[in-house]
Amino acid sequence: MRSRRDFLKALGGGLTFGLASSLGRFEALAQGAPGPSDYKALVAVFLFGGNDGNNLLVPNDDAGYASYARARPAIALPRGALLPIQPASGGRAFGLHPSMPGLQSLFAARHAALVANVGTLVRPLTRAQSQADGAPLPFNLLSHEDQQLQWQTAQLLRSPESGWGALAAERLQALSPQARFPPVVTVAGANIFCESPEVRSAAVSADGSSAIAGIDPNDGSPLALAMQQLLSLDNDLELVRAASATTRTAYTDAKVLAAAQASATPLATPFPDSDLGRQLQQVARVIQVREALGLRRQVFFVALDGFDTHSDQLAQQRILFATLDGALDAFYRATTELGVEGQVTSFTLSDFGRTFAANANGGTDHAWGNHHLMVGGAVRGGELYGTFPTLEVGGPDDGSDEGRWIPTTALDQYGATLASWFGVKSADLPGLFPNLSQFGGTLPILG
Amino acid sequence: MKIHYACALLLPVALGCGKRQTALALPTAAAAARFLETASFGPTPAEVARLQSIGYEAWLDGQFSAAPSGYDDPAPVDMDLSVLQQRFFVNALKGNDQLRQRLALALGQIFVVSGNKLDDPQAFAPWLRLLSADAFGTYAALLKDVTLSPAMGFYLDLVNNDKPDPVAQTTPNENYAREVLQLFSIGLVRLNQDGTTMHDAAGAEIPTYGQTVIEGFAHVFTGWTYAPAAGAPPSFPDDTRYDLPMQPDEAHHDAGEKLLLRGVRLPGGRTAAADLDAAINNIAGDPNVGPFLALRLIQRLVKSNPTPPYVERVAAAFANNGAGVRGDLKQVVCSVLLDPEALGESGAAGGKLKEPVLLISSLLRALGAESNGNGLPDYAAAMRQKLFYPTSVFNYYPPTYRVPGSTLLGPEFKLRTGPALIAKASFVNDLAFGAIDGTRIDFAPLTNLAGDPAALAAYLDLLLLRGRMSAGARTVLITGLASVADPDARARTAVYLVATSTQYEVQR
Repeated sequence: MRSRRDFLKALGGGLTFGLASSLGRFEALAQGAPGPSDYKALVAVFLFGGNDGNNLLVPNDDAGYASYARARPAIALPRGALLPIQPASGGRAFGLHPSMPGLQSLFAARHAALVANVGTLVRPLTRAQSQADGAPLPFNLLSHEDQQLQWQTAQLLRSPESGWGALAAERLQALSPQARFPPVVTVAGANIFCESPEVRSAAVSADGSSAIAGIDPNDGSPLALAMQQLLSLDNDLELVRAASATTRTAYTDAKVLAAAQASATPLATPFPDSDLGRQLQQVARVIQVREALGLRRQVFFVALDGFDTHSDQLAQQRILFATLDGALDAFYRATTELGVEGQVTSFTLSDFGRTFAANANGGTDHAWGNHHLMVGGAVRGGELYGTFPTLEVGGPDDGSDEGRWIPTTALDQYGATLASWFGVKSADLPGLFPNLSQFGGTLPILG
Repeated sequence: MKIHYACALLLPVALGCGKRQTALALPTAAAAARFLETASFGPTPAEVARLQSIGYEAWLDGQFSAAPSGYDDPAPVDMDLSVLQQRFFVNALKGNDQLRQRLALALGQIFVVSGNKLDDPQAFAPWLRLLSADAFGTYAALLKDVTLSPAMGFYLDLVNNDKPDPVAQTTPNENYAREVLQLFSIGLVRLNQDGTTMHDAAGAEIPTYGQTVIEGFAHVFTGWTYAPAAGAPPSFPDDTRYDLPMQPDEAHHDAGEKLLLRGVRLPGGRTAAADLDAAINNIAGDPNVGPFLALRLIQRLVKSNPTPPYVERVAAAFANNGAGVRGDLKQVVCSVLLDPEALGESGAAGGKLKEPVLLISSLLRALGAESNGNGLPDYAAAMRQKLFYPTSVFNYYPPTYRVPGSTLLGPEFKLRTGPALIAKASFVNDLAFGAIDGTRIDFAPLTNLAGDPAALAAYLDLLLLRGRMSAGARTVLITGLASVADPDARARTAVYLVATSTQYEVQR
């Protein structure tokens, strides 16, 4: 009878601090030693400002398009401009924003899925319930700052502590006993999605630079030694202690990544020269060296700004969606180049959707439920999941009088679907998504 | 062309910092350096000596009367804000109006207009002048000027916001209404005067406004357009221009009732200007503004984690400047800078991380650098603070950002990722060992001391760390420097080691 320690040695790694908590979970070990093919990555694409998904996904049947155009005449997309998509299992026809031919192809090839009317939700609500006094709504539903935090943490309270991306990585640390690099990487700066008590995240620059200029604190020279020692002295201020801790890890991370990438063949897939294109290119470059980094599970965070289209929305979205489309399409191609397309899932997040009714400046205001997308080889694509809202301002799905859709799929369900595919056990999902039990479970989007 | 913001000068604000119960003693060198870290772009040996001889209040009086450094009108060929960025650094390094510029930088991080959307320097220069001109006036005057600024009007969609149109099925956009309340004045929840959050009998936070109030303000902010040509009446929508405040076209101003804060209801049928004045007063008179602004100004100038009593003292100065005036920013600034918590020793929870722009300017000021500002904005951008281009109206960092691994607040830490740190080291490397475009530093005072590493360390300790370096740290520095033989290289290495240290990054 093998001891636990023998079993773990057979997995090919020494014990790490994360293992202690998972020693009881024999179900993971019983599946056998994870091999190089047991790799998965989640790539969160945050659309900051609150994207108007109402113009990303448009009904393309006669009655549906008519109701769309009737309720937002000032900013309706012409029907002829829509890129037609047809869910594989039948049902209504839809159209994508004209700037998204890449997504249209991915949908047709069944590598992209759309999820309708997702939003932060404490529990299911009807229109009447949502407008009643004391309705259990997420805090500050129309505030950018709060909703950004809520989408990243699934904590619909005022002071969220940890991002569900980092928590998912935390739960699966045992799969990477030889990790030499943090499992969570942001290319879009510090964001709470990447932060949790036990998992460190690394930041990577979108321009790919990491060369250390001046004194390298890790090169063992007398000056490097002086730099290192200064990081642990005169630390009476907590801010100094915290800053010093980050300095140490920043230099180490940069060195490890640079060494791992030094011998990697440059990716052949061309990426668009946009902010998001550059970020996703860096994600691909980190995925490329996952084995050198000793990682079998990775979580990435990238972002695009500019979605707060209070004015001039048609012109703004034309550019924004083109950027999003080009970058996502290139990234998918890069994952096929790396042979990991079935192991990497990208998905969008955003503060909130926007009012179906337009405002005076050709724009829209803050709203609630929104349409999102998932892209990857594991996605059961070519389908629209969730329930598409009735496009009627003041209608049964409107939580207001300006067309703010009450979500019919909760963020908890959306996130749990991704986390579950990633490998988080069912029993662990409520720890990441506290309101999950209020809803109908995960969606069958990922295989 | 100058903008006319005369209203800021007409109100009876007190001169100087007003009477104090006990006069402040003349500062020591270390205290003077510490004060100058909060009230200027960084201490210089000369300025430390001057402050030591005249004292805090006289120094502040001089600052209140110093002429604004200003920004020239950009040339038509200037295509982005880089000429303004460069001028910012020139002003920060050499301008006499140090406090006014610090305050303008702080106000621009509360009342945010970002070059991400408004990249036209002809539009942005008047905006920067506004922040500088109004820095020592009243909050209400500043808020009104900000609200009528065409730059802000463009940035948050107040310009050409229209009354409801039932035929087109459109309503006034809510962008400025939402952000002026959430970010520029009162925030989302009721605050005590000490900045802590109020709770109701059930222990819940108390929202400051709901959607109806947002719609009320959104309807107030209708009908404003760009200023018309001279002699012509405003005609919605007028041609874009950024040199004059926005003007109202009454035909596009909503005539309905409007619900504002604290249950105040504006009757319908009033002019756009009357509604706007009432709205400004309604906002500026809200009890949340004092503590809301106090926290933010303390964080921009002094420390990231003020105690509630400190916030309360500053909020009190906001409520009444001693002469019955509310929102006197001069008195608020005095209260922030001269508070015992600002002047006294930092406890473990003290200090603030220098934002990249301040790290760069304070280092260059300390070293007596001459600069035309050319190369400096790119370094700040590489450190994740692209000057005048914050990512959104929420600024580069929120006031409530928590330091990783701590419960303390540290807004500037949000920028401080690995790549930003490496960029910081790269900046110091270029400064110490290489060259920075347009910047010259004379290392002779340091090279002259290089033969005696202990003297070199002591000099840099006083110059950059206000004499706070411990004996242990000094020994480490001296030992490291002893491994560098050449005096010039040794002097530059000493600068590199101290300037990249976390002890320099965190202002106490």
